This record gives sequence, structure tokens and C-alpha cells, in this order.
Amino acid sequence: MLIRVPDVESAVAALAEPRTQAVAGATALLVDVHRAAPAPGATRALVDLTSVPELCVLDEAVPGEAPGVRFGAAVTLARAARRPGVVGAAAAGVATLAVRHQATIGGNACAAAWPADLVAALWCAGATVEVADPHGRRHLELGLAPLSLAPGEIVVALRVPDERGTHVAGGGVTPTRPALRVLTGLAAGRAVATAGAWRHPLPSTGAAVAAHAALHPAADEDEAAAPADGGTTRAASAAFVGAVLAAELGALGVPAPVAADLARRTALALEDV
Amino acid sequence: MTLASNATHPVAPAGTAPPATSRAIRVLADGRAEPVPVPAGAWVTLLDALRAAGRTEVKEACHEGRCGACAVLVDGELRLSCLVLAARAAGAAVTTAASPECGRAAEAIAACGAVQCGYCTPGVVVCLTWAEAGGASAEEALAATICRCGCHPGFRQAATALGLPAAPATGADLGTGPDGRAVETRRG
Repeated sequence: MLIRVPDVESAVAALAEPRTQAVAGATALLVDVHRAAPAPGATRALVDLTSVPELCVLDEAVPGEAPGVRFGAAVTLARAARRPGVVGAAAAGVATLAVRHQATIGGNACAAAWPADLVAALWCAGATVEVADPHGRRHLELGLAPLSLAPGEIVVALRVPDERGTHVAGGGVTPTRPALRVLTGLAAGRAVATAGAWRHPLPSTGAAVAAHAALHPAADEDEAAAPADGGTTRAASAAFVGAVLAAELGALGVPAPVAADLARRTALALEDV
Repeated sequence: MTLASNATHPVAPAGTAPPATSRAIRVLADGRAEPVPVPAGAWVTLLDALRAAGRTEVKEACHEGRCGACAVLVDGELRLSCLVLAARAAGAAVTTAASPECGRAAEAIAACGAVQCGYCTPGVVVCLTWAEAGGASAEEALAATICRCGCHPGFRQAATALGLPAAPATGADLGTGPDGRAVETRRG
């Protein structure tokens, strides 16, 4: 049985009933169910979160609140993938188009048994999570691990204060199956290397990205050609980030050609952000 | 066929929607919609419902959204039916490879000889039909399919015959090739 609910409070109330479970895109959930073959009757009803209008809204800026983007938890990855920046780029790399049109950003951030490809991008962008339970709503910082929710809790939205960043993939045997991804977030000054469910922060690269962002707040072609204050050019500070990244990836044991390739392309991408 | 974006999920006003399981899935066939009942049970997929109703042109293979053999169109949108809850498809119009609008893609695939064991073919037919209606490029549509017989070169020929663009208009940086050099970034 599929229960459609009009708002977040009704969804939380429905989930407080026994033998209910929340469902949004269902792309991970149905595979988990298929693999584990749940006992018949273990779940009586599914609460359809995609029926809640608030969860399907993508807001550019919420009046009266800090700037940034608010992704409703049931916004599809296909929709998120149309956005610029590190979150959109990461969403575009998940599974195939048919899955991206169905899978949701909130579901991806919570799918602990799955690669949860968006977690690294959301962390780089300094995202916070709005969670609802029977006692109300609260905001959490998103870490580098998938969200872990208590029974009866749901993700309402993910707020991304600043989407500027880079997403570069490489090192695979075939180009469509990259082994390693490197993501950076300019505003938060964060960088991470990720492969499937493995995510490793790159603190030195993050600091270099923060310095790059402070020196060059916005992409500006005139500035790149001739820095007004006699400081570094945009390309030079991006290249510095690349050098730090290559060294940090090398220290993690990434083969030198792969580290150099990822560093070079991250530096190139940073010049355009 | 409508190919409206799935950006917003259709929402029924509170209190007015009948229980989802009271409505049948409608499979588009020759000039009519054949009702397929939605079986009881929380975890029944659209794939299970269609095959239980004898719609065996929808193939089950991986059941994990990887292979594309079970692809169908739900209200004109490409979906892998193994990942769709049957209850959510209640009332929706489902197009399978046996539906008349898939005829052109099926004929193109046959004309290119891109059929060996044939198990993946219905899913590929649906993917190409969706792409032809404006949903995507051949590359994006075929990325959702796997053919162990090696028919993908033929599928690409069929896609070209159908007039599909080979690559998406814009695309992500694919990364590094086997020789260590960066693969060309697709910019349309």
C-alpha cells in the first residue's frame, strides 16, 4: 500500500505508525529489497515522500534566509544535474539517465549501503540538512559519511550555501568508469577524493582552494589577463592548487600519472569557476 | 506521446486521491489501453506486475536498474520498471516494446541486424523510442542498456537511422582514457 501525504507533518505522523517505511525515488530501496527478500508483511505501507509538494521544490534563494540553493529532498538527480557547480556535476555522474530521472537528492544522501555519490559534493559545498521528526525540524551539518536517520525521521531539504566548485573524474580502465573523483568547493575551502563509497578529505588542497577563492572571488577574464594589484593571476593560483592536489593524492598512494592528470584538470576547471 | 519533464511529480490534492491500488496500470496496445491490475504488497514492482499480467515483452534480468532489459515508458518518461513501485504506476499509461509507437525503433534495429539472443532488444527498442521522441541522444539512451551478445554497434547504427544525435548537447568531463590521456570533453 502506498500512502500519499499532503505535507511533511503528515508524512512524519504516518511514519510513526508501525510497519511503515518512507519511500522517495525507490531506486536504491527496491534493489535492497530484491537482494534481501524481506519477510512478507514486514512493511505494511510505504509513505510516498514524492507526494509532498514542499519536498519537490528547488528554491534558488529563500526570502529572509541566507543566500544559496535549497534542494527539496525529493528533487530528482536529473533536475539537480542541470545546475552548475559541484553538486550538479556530481549528480550528472550518477548511474544512467533513466535512474537519475527517478532517484532523489535526499535519498542519495541517506543511502548508506550505496556509494551515495552526492555526499562528497554536498560536503565540499558546505551543505546543511533539514530533518523532520515528530518533535519538529532541525538543521544538521552534513559530514563525509551518508546521513544516518533514526526511524520516523525524514530529510526535508538540503541547503547548499555556495555551489561553486569542481568535479573531475579519472584513473579508470575505461573512460566511462572512472576509478577516482576529486571534488572541490570554493566557498567552504574543501576538497575530497572519492571512489565509490570511499571518501577521503584533502585538507591541504582545501586550504589552497580557499586561498584561490579569496584571491579571485569571481571568474573575471580581465583579471586573469592582468591582476589589478600585481598579485598572482587566476591561472597561477589554480596551478598552485593543482600542485598541492598532486602531492596530496601521491601521498595517498594514487599512481603519479593519475594524480597528475586529476590535478591538471582540476586546475583547469578552477580557472573557469 | 508527451515527454513532459519529471521535474515535479504530479500531486493529488489532499483527501481527494483514491487509494493508489484501486486503479489499474494502463498498457498501451493497438489503439487501446489494456488494464493491468496492481497486485497487493508493498514491494511489488511495475516489472513484476506487468509480467504477472502476461506482458512478457518486458524482460527481467538484473532487477537492479543496471541492464535496461525492463525499460518502459511511464506517461512518456523512460523508466526501468524493476525500480518502479507498481502502486506508483497505478493510473499511468505504460508503453512497452509491443506498443505501436515502438514500431519504428524495432524496425530500425531489425534492419541493422542488431539482434542476436534478443533478450535485451525490447528494452533497447523502448530506449530508442524515448530518445527519438526528443528525450535524449543515442549515447544517453543506450547507456541504460547492456547487450552481452555485443549488439551495441548495431544499436548505434539503428539510432543513426532514426536520426538521433550521437552525443548529448552538453556533457560531463569523462576523465582519462586507458592510455592515461584525458578523454575529449564533450561540449556539443
